[in-house]
Amino acid sequence: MDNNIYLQDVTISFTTKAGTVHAVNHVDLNVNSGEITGMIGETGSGKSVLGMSVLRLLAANSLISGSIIYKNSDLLQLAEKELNQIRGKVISFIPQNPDAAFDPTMKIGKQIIEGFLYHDKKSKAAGISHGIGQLQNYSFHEPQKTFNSYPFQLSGGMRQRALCAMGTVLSPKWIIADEPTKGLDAIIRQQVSQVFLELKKTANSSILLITHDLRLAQKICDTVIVLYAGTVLEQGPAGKLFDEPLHPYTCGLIDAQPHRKLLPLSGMPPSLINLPAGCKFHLRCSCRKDICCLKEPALLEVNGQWVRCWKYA
Amino acid sequence: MCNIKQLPVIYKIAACILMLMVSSAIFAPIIAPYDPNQVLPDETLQSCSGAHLLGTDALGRDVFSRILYGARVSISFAVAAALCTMILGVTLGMISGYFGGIIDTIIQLLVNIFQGLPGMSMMIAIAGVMGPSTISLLFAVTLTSWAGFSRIVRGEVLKIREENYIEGVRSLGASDFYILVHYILPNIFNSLIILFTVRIGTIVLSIASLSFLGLGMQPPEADWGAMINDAKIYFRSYPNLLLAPGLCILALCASINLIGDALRDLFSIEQDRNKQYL
Amino acid sequence: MNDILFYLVKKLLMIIPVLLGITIAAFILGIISPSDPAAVLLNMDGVSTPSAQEIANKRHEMGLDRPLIVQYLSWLLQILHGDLGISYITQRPIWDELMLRLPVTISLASCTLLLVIVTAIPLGVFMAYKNNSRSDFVLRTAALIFTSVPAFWLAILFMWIFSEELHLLPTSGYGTLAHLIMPSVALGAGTIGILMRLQRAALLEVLEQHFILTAKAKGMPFPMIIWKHGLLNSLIPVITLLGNYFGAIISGSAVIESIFSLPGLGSYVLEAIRGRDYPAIQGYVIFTGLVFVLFNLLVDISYLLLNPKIRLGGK
Repeated sequence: MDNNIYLQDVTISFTTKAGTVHAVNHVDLNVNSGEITGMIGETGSGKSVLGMSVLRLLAANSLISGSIIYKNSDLLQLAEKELNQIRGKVISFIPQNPDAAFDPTMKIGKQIIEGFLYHDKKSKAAGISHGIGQLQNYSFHEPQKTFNSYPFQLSGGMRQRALCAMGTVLSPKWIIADEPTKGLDAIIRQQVSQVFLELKKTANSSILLITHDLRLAQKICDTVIVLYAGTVLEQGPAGKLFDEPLHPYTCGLIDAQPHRKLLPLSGMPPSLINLPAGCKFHLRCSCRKDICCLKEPALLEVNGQWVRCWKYA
Repeated sequence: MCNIKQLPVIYKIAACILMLMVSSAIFAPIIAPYDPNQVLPDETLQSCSGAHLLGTDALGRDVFSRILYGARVSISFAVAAALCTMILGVTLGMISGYFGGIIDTIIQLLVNIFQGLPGMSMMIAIAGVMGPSTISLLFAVTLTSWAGFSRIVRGEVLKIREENYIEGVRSLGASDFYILVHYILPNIFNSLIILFTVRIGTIVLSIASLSFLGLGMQPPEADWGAMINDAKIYFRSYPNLLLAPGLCILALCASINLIGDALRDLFSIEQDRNKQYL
Repeated sequence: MNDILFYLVKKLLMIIPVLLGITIAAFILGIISPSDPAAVLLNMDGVSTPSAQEIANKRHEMGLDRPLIVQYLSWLLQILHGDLGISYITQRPIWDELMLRLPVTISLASCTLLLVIVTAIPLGVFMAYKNNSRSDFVLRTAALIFTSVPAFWLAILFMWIFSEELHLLPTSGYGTLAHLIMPSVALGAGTIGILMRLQRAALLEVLEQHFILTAKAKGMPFPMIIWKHGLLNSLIPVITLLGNYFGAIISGSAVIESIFSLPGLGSYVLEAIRGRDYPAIQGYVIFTGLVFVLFNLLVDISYLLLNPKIRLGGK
């Protein structure tokens, strides 16, 4: 039995006043264990939603179909109680936005070891020393002091690192990190990416990294998945995908980076309420053909990469 | 803004109750079978019957007619008082928020002072000192409840004042008064309507309390609060005397509160989404 | 530590204008009252129909011919010495009379407040936990009825049911806790309704916050998340408004005291109104205002305990 996470035909929609939002559409994915898998895409591409759906953390107005298989059980079918044994302990989720992810009325340390105390039924003293050690691992200079601080007393970078410390407190097999470098300056971003590399090496954790920071993905990921309007457009080994992107959208994303051509993608992401027919990207695509507007291409293997584009069909 | 037709049934029921009460208040002289103050010495303390739908009180007055006229008194007074409160509160709130500076400081100090006074106590004291009359009641209610209005209005004005288009209108030479009336007022209109509606409910309750204490509407004026006070002695044998006016106050206030919720829904005021009753 | 001190000093300074406002309001009540204190005092001294000259002399003696601002300041000075004047009716110092009745109102108000807190907050939490379920709907209906029912009517209904029919509770009087049960429930009903709704809304709002998601991701069961992260955070906005509701309880107690014949401040002021005892009405305004202000100060202090951001001087 492997530790991979298999997503099969996962479709997620949200019922809102404006209409049904189709956030994720028929995603089939194998996320391999032992690797850092990067999930990239613009805002609204469904990457966060997909990451959260693995632990069923989505809001009550969401509707998920398909299955997410981990160790022969479908996480979407598990009872809440069984799922709680996996959440945090086996698969942990590091939420985005460290400013809002901490309870403002509880000390950081207490929040960090909360899951540890709950799952491992250890004594409080053991929890505290574990928590302080954990903070030390994340290069806090005064772990004791940080442990007893309230979230508003820390800087943004410190909160982000504390969030990572919280997500890894139980040494989980899997870590799903949602935008862990958003809003951080270059030095802290460097630190955080170091942390993930180390987690992979020392704790042997598998990581699903949700990010729009392409440089981070290029630097630390083994595999990269490109998401657009809730659909996988391209998937492949990080090195290959960044050197020879196949899908026009991936090319566009890469060219849009400041250190490349700084060439923004034209157009806007499509409305998720009225999804375009055919290829989801055809409205913004420079290589559009007639068929692109009519029929959605299948995900095809091209030179060890997977791509969903009529160019390669 | 969502459609009236899509509103939950409960709001429609509330609207029907409210409409029924308002129309019976308006048409009380036509509907009422008796003069509310007509004393029938031979028919005192009757229970419900065909002749007297809700019986008669200790003086032989027809309870149903008094209830109808009571609705007239309660609703018209509450609306008038809520209007006065709103006008005073909105004026001071808009001035305070729009002009800022020393005017704002003074008005805010007043708001703090008035909110630091327990409202009902002040109402009792004012009505007590000035002697019970409609004018003193109106004065008491307005004086004790304008502060809440002005606080909310000021907050809204502060928000809108910073908008670019207000700056634009001003640079076109519009006077402050023009901007307040034509741009700021329409913007806060929705919130005002809701506040106004809910305030009517609160005032109905306060006035009923004051009347119950003998400080509100004066006899022989038919008033629900005063009717409950009259019923205090007889309610064991004649529960209709106590239940009829009490249930009327309850139904009126509950439907007003529900209408307030419905308006929040209609105007899509998101921050109050969780505060709805039903 | 300095932050706490700063916060407290700021709150203390802020109540000074409010206290002054209360005294000004009470003073104005005295001015607009239709009676002339000089004439009343002369009456008390046995001069039944004083001449204009006698009244003028008395007025001068009492300082009533001085400018209003001077009158106010000297009156304020008297109050600061615990002198609210002499009651027209009993001819006893009003301060002493009010002090005699204050414990009754305070005990009724605290009993009511306690009842409100221990019922409304758990019910509100339960409603949020069971959001949109059948029990939530039933409790929301109950909250609507509580807020819309007139307290005095409820009080009479309680008397009818629990005293006259079931003989469970005493109808009136003061002394034991049993005497306070019905008055507290009747007085608190409206506030319970409002607070239930408020607590529910506050908790629902907190449950939408990001950190609840974080807690969920830790694998803790939902009730535990509400207990550890939801409750305290939702109490912060609720506690802020508790001060306002205490005002409603203090002032609503007048009606309830008169129904249950509780010898508190409320029944005192009603007697005073009936007897046109204006200085006593002024005293009542000052006392209830003072109690309200002090309670709000207490709320501010408890806020300090609940909210670490204020305690530790965060932005």
